[in-house]
Amino acid sequence: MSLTREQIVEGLVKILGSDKVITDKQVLQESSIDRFRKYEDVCGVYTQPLPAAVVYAESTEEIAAVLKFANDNTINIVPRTGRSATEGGLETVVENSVVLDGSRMNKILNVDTYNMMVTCQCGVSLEVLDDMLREQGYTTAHSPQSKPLAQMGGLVATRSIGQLSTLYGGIEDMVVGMETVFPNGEITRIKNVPRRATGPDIRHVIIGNEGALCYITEVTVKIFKYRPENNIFLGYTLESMKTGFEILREVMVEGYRPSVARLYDPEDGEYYFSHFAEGKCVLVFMVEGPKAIAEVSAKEIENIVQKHAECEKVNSQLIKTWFENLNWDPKKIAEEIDEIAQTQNIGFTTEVSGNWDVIYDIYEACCNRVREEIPDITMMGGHSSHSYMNGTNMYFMYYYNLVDITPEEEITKYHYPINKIIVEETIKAGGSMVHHHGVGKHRTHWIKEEYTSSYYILETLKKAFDPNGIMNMGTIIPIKK
Amino acid sequence: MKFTVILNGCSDNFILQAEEINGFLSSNALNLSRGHTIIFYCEENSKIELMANAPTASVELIKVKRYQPENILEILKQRTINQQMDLYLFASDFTGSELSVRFAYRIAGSSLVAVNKLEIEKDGLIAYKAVYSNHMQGVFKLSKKPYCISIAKGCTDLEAVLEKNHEAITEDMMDVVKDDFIKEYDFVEEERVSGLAHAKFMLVAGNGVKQKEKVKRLEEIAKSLGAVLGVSRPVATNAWAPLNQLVGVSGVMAKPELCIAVAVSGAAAFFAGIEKSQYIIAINTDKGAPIVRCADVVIIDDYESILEELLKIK
Amino acid sequence: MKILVCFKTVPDLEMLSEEDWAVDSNLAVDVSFVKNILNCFDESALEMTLKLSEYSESFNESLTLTALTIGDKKAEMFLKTLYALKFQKAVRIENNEDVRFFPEVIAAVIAQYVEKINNQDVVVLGRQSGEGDNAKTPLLVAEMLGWPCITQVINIEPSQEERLRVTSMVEGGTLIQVIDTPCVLSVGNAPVSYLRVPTLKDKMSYGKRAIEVLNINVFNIASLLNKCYHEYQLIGLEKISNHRAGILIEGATTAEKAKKLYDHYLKERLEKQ
Repeated sequence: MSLTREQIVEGLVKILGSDKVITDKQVLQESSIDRFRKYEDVCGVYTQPLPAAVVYAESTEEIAAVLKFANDNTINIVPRTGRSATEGGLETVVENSVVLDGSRMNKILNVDTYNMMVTCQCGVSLEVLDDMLREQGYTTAHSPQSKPLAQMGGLVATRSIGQLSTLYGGIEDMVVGMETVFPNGEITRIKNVPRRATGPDIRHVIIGNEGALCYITEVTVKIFKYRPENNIFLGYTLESMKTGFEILREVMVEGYRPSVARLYDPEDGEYYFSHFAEGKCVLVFMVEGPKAIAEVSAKEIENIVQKHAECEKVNSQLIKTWFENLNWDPKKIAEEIDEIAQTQNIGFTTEVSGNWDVIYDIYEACCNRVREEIPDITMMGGHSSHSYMNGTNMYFMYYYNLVDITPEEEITKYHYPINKIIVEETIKAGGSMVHHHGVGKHRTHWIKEEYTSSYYILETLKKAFDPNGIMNMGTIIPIKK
Repeated sequence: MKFTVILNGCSDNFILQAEEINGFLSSNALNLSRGHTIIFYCEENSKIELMANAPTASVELIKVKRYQPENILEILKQRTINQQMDLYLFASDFTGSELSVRFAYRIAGSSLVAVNKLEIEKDGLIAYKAVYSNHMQGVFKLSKKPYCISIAKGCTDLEAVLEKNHEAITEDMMDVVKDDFIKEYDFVEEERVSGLAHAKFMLVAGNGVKQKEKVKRLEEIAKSLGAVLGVSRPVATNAWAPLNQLVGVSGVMAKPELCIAVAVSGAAAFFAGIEKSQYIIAINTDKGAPIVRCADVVIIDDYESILEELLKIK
Repeated sequence: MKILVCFKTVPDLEMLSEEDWAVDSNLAVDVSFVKNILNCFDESALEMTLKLSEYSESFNESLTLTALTIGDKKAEMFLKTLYALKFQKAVRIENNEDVRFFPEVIAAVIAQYVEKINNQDVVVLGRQSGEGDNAKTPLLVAEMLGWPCITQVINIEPSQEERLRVTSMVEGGTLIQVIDTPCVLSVGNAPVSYLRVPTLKDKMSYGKRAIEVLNINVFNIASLLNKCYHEYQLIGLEKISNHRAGILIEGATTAEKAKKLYDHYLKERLEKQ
């Protein structure tokens, strides 16, 4: 017999006390979605089942107790920290879910500047952490656009990546060790060592699990020296994305490691760069690190770019100012809601990756099809922002006017069909359908095509660690109907 | 410097205008004995109060049907045509800035809107005003008399008028009609008069407050703390609060003794509305927000929790 | 009815960091490396006019909308957008002179445009903008044209007999006036603050028309500027400092922080009130 809402709340109050269990209707409504359904927020119309409660845990033991209670009673748990999710990962699609919020677990536990790592609880805000480190001359070097909002547990859980990834890697390259709680209440700790060969790297079971396997309560990440005075910004305008991808490839293959390497198409670039690059693609690099290395890298990257006659160098101050204004803070989000309400124009992103030989084809096919097939499109474009030896990502941006729809139809008429085109074209070309936002709940439809035969491993992990199916059901793996 | 002050006696905010102009006159060391005041009025029974609040002894009361700028401008021109005036001073509200510019054009003088401070020089007038969306202060030199200046909101302390020996003349100019382009006219009074401009203790809510209900709760909290609530432009334009509670360059420029700013990022145009506060306490979750560097005391936390705690303590 | 909306693109000053506010020898701040946006009051004016145009159709009246800006080529992106949003005419008056603090010049050019080049029934402008914050242009346009002016406009609707119903803010409330044209409308803090977005299709169908570019010399700018220099000049520019103590209250819990705030900083001040 499954518990009623009232019994669930009662059980949670017994574990946590009443002040940590929130059942206020408005809180529940806002907690039933994430930014994938931001139009519901704009309209004040909420379509998802409301969670039974939002609960704030303040220790690993409380997390363990809540998970065990949920596991024993088959209650779906949606883990959450900074709430900057964009792919439906925080949607409460199962009736009487419980949102387990770790944002009050916000202590920085240990800053170890000799072994170069910092340990903190899951609810530590990345910006708070990084600002604290910077004052001491260090940084996490993790700088996603969501930095002012996101917290450490969620960043690790979604395999986050930052703007400086080309030098420092994604969060998976930064995590040293972790403390994690599994649905049966088991608290596990992976110790902090530089490397080991003691079987599979089990950190990767946890990193990117999107709350569908376990709850991350504590993480240790690497820190780096913070030397912004050595940063060098390079910017170029150019005619074609094709050339841009070639240059990115050459920079990577020749062995240079800019921290930022980005390529914008004219549509996406218009918002940021219209004052100097109207109608053009923009290629951006930032190099950092020890002064001598930064200077040489910048010079050599310039040499590579200069071989391509269509590239024109721009004043680096333009790039610096752009970079300083890139992040999304609460103010921007509040303004966006107002803007959507007034203009009935809304935008989303879908990020994919592909090897060098297919990335341009993916870019072209997705842009063409969305522009042709989707009604009321006002903008379709994108940029590459994370490059690797083998390939790069494409971050598609698209906006549309909402014409003659009910709030619910925003997703079915526009967002799903666009996602479908991008995901299908990417998988068809051999790329990956998700580069860094996580699968969430809306790209699960294609998860088997994404994994092909390796889906066996993913499915087995889910069965093994979450046999009762209580961890963020519908995320990564679709709910069986 | 010979000057004339122009005041709108048809408006409810007349006393505020008068006290502000009076403060401006004294902080800029203008010699009151060389000044004259023109007050437009609509109701006979307000005359005594209006006159009592004229900053200069010499007063001219002009009766009009209602305060319509086209008519006022025509009357002003008629009444001042043969005067050798150096300076016309207008109030800090929107009617003041409108009149200063249009009147200057009609009498071939020069104008400047929202002036903070004046310095009189032999060959001209030095005027200070905020530019670049309140990031910078510009210093201007005006060299063409008469200078028509509207003062900036909140540029000085309010000063009650001390002059007791007013000598007033009264004119009825209701027959001057330049507004026949208006075919229908309807005035809808704002429900409440917001006391922001005079508030000694303010609670100010910024863009981080995202719901009508939260604004409502803040209203209650403000009341029980004894503060007046002010809001930012997005909060007001979303109709979550009346527009007369708007703080910033496009609203009230407040000068309270104490200001608690919650969920205020500190964008310059908005911050300008509270920067004259004697003491600013900022409560914000965003440690990097500009307000953090512009406040006397800062708490990085959720503003709702802190305010609710404060209520408990108080 | 012919309506002219005048707008200005301004640098997004919020993008500048503290050290970017350096003043050069021409008493200017270098804003060349931040992006341009529509001045917020002008953006309201443009959207308000588009809404008016839609409503007017139900009054069986069609409006002819012209958008005009004075400035360099950077503004053309916005003019193209306005074409795509079905403005009938988009005009740019090429100017590279520093007119930040000379609204008299801008107003004179607009007035000449209306009188000599493209007659209008209504001119709509934002009340104040960007770098200069002069707050004078709409008022001066009205004076130069000899037209009445309504300030602090927050809504414009069509009315019978080719009239407009204009809502504006005044001290203590709002005014709703039905007016005859011609008239200058100066837009204030309107609830409409964002310009709508054209679809790609409309950009292709309407946004490609040629922007009419006029040279500012046609308007005698040299003598206009010269006249202004003799009337007033900017002689200084300095950063307004917002510096305060910035004491950070720390505490393990919200309650602890609130308590510290109350005990050390608030109690005494509240008692004084």
